[in-house]
Parts: sequence; C-alpha cells; structure tokens
Amino acid sequence: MTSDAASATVKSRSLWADARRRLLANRAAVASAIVLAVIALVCIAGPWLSPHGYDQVYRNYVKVPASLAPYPGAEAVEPALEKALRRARVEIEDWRVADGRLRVTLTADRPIDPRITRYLDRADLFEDTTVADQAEGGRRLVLEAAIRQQYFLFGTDANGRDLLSRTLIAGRISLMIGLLATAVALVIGVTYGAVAGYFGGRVDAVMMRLVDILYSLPFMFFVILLVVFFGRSIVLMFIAVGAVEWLDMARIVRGQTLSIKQQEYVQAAHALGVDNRGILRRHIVPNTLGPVAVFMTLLVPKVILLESFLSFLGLGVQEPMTSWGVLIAEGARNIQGAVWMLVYPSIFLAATLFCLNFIGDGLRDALDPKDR
Amino acid sequence: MLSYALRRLIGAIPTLFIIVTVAFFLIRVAPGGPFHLERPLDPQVMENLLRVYHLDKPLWQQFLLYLGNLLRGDFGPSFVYRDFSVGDLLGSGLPVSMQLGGAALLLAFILGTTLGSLAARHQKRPGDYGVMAAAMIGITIPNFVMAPVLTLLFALTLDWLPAGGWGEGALANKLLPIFTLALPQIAVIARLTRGSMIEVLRSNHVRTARAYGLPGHVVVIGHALRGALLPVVSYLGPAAAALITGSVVIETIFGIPGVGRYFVQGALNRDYTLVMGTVVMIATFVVLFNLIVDLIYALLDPRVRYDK
Repeated sequence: MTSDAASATVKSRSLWADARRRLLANRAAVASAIVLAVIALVCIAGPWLSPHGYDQVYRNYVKVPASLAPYPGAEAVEPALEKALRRARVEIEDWRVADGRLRVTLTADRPIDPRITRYLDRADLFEDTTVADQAEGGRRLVLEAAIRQQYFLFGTDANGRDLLSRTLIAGRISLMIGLLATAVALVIGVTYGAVAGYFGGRVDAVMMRLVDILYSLPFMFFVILLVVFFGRSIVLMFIAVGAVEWLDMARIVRGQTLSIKQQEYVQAAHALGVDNRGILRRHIVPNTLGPVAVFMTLLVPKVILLESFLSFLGLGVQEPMTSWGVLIAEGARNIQGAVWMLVYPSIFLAATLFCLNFIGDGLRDALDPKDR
Repeated sequence: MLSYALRRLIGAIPTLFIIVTVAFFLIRVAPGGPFHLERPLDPQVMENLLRVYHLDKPLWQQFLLYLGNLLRGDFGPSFVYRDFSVGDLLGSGLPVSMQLGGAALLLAFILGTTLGSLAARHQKRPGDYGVMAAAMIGITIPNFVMAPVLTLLFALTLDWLPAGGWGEGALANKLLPIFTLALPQIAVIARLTRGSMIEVLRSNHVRTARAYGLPGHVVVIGHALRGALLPVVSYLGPAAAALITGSVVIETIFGIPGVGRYFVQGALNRDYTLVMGTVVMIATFVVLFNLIVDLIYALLDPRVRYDK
C-alpha cells in the first residue's frame, strides 16, 4: 500500500491505477501487448483484404514455396501450358511471353474449335484468353492470354491454398477459441468458487470435493470425452474446453473469498440487510478480480495451446476451416520439402503465446502488493 | 515414515475407486460403442460380440464385473486390438514410455536446477536474463512444434539422428524424443528453482555460511539448494507421472510404441477396457508420485514430520 499519511494531501492512487502505472513501466509487457494487438488486428482484418480465399484451391500452385516475387515465375509457364492443353489434342508450335502476356501458336490436323480458350482460362496462371489470329482454315490458331500474377507470400499448402490467408483465418479461430473458452471458464469458475467460499461449511466441503475429484481425473480423458459428446463442432468445443478449465479458477476465487468475507465491509453490508446475492455481486466478486485477471491472461495461451493440441490430433477444427494447430499438424507432415508450411503458422502461434505469457507475468508483478 | 507411507497408500484406495467409477460411467455415457463401425455389423454378429464381452448386461453388473477383474489384476480384453488384452498392451508399452519419461525427467531435473541456480546467483545480470528468456521459449513453444523442428534440424538437415521409429530401443532413436520431452520441463524447473533460490539466498543460514567465508558455489550447492528444491519437488510429482505415462504427441511424431497413444485412441474407438486401463494406470502413478514427493519433502526439510 502507498503510505496513507504521506499521500493524505496528494490524490491517492487506487489499486488499479497503481497496477496500470506499473504495468506500463514493464517494457516486455508493453511490447508484448503491442505485438499481440498487431497479430489480432492482422488476423481479423487480413482475411478480408487478402486476394485469396482461405479455402480457394489453386491446382497449378500446389506446395509452392513462400516468395516475395509474384507467381508464376518464367519457368512455370511452359509446364502449365502443356498441362492445360494436354487433353485438347493440339500441338503447341510456338509460345512466348512478353509484357505479362502469353502468345501461343497452336496447330492441329483438324480445325481447332475457338472455345479452346477455356482450357487456358481454367489454369490458374492465365486469364482473358482470346483468339488473336486464325489461319490455314482454322488449323492454326494464335491465342493471347494475360498472365495472372499472384502473390503467395507464405507459399501454399498441399492442396494449393494460400498459406497466408489460411494462417490468418486460423489465427481468428485460435484467438476466438482462446477468448471464448476463457470467458466460459471465468464465468463458471468465479461463480462456483465465490459461492463455495462464501457459504462455507458443508456447501464448501461438498463443492470443493467435487472439484478435487474432477481434478484427479486425467485431463485429456475429459477433453476427449467432451469432444466425443459434442461432436466436432467448433463452438461447442470452445465451451467444452472452458468447462474443463474452470477448476483452477474456482480454487483461486474460493481462497480469495474465504478471506474477503471476513472483512468489515462485508459485515457492514450484512448489517444493512443486503442479501447474499447482492453481497456476492457487489463486494466479493469484484474484489477477487486481481488474481483472476492474472490467471485469465495465462489461461488464454493455455487454451490456445490445448485447441492446437486437439486440432493436431485431428479432434478440433475441421476442414476447410482451420486453426494454427491444424496448420502445424499439416506442416509437420510435410516437413520434408515444404518447410514453410510448418514455419509460418508456428511463428504466429509461438509469438501469440509468448506475448500472452509476458503480459500475464507483467500483470502478476503489477498486481503483487508485496512487490511495491 | 513407513507407517505414514502405508497409511497414505490405504488412503489412496477411495480416491482410485472414485476415479475408476467416474471414468467408467462417463465413457459409457458417450455416444457410440466399440463395435459401431462405418459399416454396421450383422445384428447376429453384434449380439454375439456384445454377449462375449458382457456388454449386454445392465451397466451396474458390468461395473461390478470390471471391478472384480481389476482387483485380480485383470484389465480385460481390448475391444479394438482384438488379439491383445489391455494388460498386454500396457505391459509392452509402459517400459518404453517409462524409459523415455524417466530419462527426460532426470535430464530436466539436472539441467533445470543447474540453470535455475545459475540464474539466481546472477540475478538481474545478462546470464539471468538469458536463462529466463530461454525458459520462456521452452515453456511457450508446444512440443508438437518443437518435435518437427528438431527432427528437421538434427535428422533431416544435419543427418545426425534418425527421424523417428523405435529401432529396438537404440540410443540414437531415443535422443530426440527424450530431449523434446525434457525441454519444457527444463524450462519450468529452471524458473521454479530460480524463484525459490533467490528467496533462500536471502535467508539467515545462507548469510551465515557466507559470513564464514565459504565460496559461492559451496554455499549454493551445500546450503541453499536443499531448501530451494522444495517447490521443484512438489512440481515434479505430477510432472513425473505425466512424463512416465507417455505423451501422445511425441509418440505419434516419432513413431514410438509407448502407452501415450492408447489413451486417445481408446477414447476415440470407445475401446472401453483400454481407456479404463489407461485411466487406472495414470491415476495410480499420480497417487504414487504424490506420495514419493511427500516423503522426499520430509528428507529435504527436517521440519516436516509425518510420525506423530
């Protein structure tokens, strides 16, 4: 506590104002908060801005490496051209690329149907194919097409989907799961812990015994059972994970409540005739929020990790939707030859977890009354 | 102390009983069953299967039957690995998981306490910040990221170690899994050791030892470490149980025939007996290691007494 005698004339600082000042002085925590805000912003806004849909498949660009240069590269045109026209029964007599436009001369024994342009348009590399010239009664055809330049900054995955868009949409899911599950854990844990601690006695004994039993069951057992129960739906998964993670929260809040309910202001509220609900809502719960806030920031990364872990096992988010865990699992399977598939999602996940942990640590230090 | 250990072991029986009961009924409430396959079985076949495995009896009879078998040490047959009993599966997988987990635990303990003590001695100096930053990385990067990254580095790029497989227990095959398992534990133990070591280094007996002119490392190892290990030891109880009963992720990525996989697979296949077997195994280890932790506590801190 700031010494009251000295600050009698100065405006006294509340616990929260003091904590905020100390948190802002913690450079690691502030930097983490900024990085985290950037990641969150990019993940929220990115998928709308990206030219590629997260589930859009580019058959010509399967597992292309991450690159700042646009695709297709010069060497990619010929194989793509051959592949596109393979079933058209024509000979490619000549082709060249100039100013981002492709000019290809085709020959065949029979007159070539001008609708052959569709074969080219269907490839991911070309667009706006037109017939530029016809000769020899249609047996020689000159086609012109624009080369479609596309950027795959993070490369593409094994199905030819843009990894950047997928990483960002995965971030949305992972962050959302983290927040939602934490909120569920918060509501259940705080209510349960406050009620158990406040009423004490037999109620407390029974309620906490239940927590102990749930604690001693292997954690994975629970999560898998919940997944089995609720099917593989994302929203229910959040709730399930939150419903498992409330145990610690309940213990922390109960412990706090036990000491808070002995305070004079609670007795005063009693004397004034406030009912139990009112006391819990107005006096007990708000005063437990310090440790709860710390625990919450540390719970978010835990939940994100758990979600990633479940997705890694194939129990979490299902295709074509994705999460960082799913992407990392795919990356781990394609580690030979497509390292970028593992690297980028891992960087996002690790950075997020890092930041959340630093913020949590900073918050704990800031709220620690012993450390003033 | 012996009578205390005995009392604790007896006290663990109700706990185990509750865990077994809750787990038994929970897994049974889950929709689906071990024989609900993609293609439905012939009703006659299904009926026979259910009868053979006593699954057609009322649930409470099945429960009593299972408890009876369990008391005789019989975990029952696995429903999905048809030719094996759950006892066989766990019996062949557990030594593998125990080897890896035990080695990882030892490595984590030695490295973690050493690094933590070093960080504490150099508090708020570069060495301290270095260790703590590395520990943060160890804690935040999940093992399913670390395992492929290490494989890529040591197996695929440098070609020093095999990328996976058990190789009849060759040492080279064990190194990567052990290291991956140990890494987060090293980080946690280093943080715990540092925290408690800083406090112990401020205490009176350490100051006295310093005043006698003992060199720094003697003070830390001989006088401070013992007290600083208390929180580490209580963390190690559950951690050891978790390490020794195997990790799904590590076993899947490195292709190791341990017991960690059975739990997830069993629950997904509704292989009731396999799930129950793993639950019993894990719970037993948790109880056992918590007991060991309490006994070690008494050794480390003479103020802790269990004999009345």
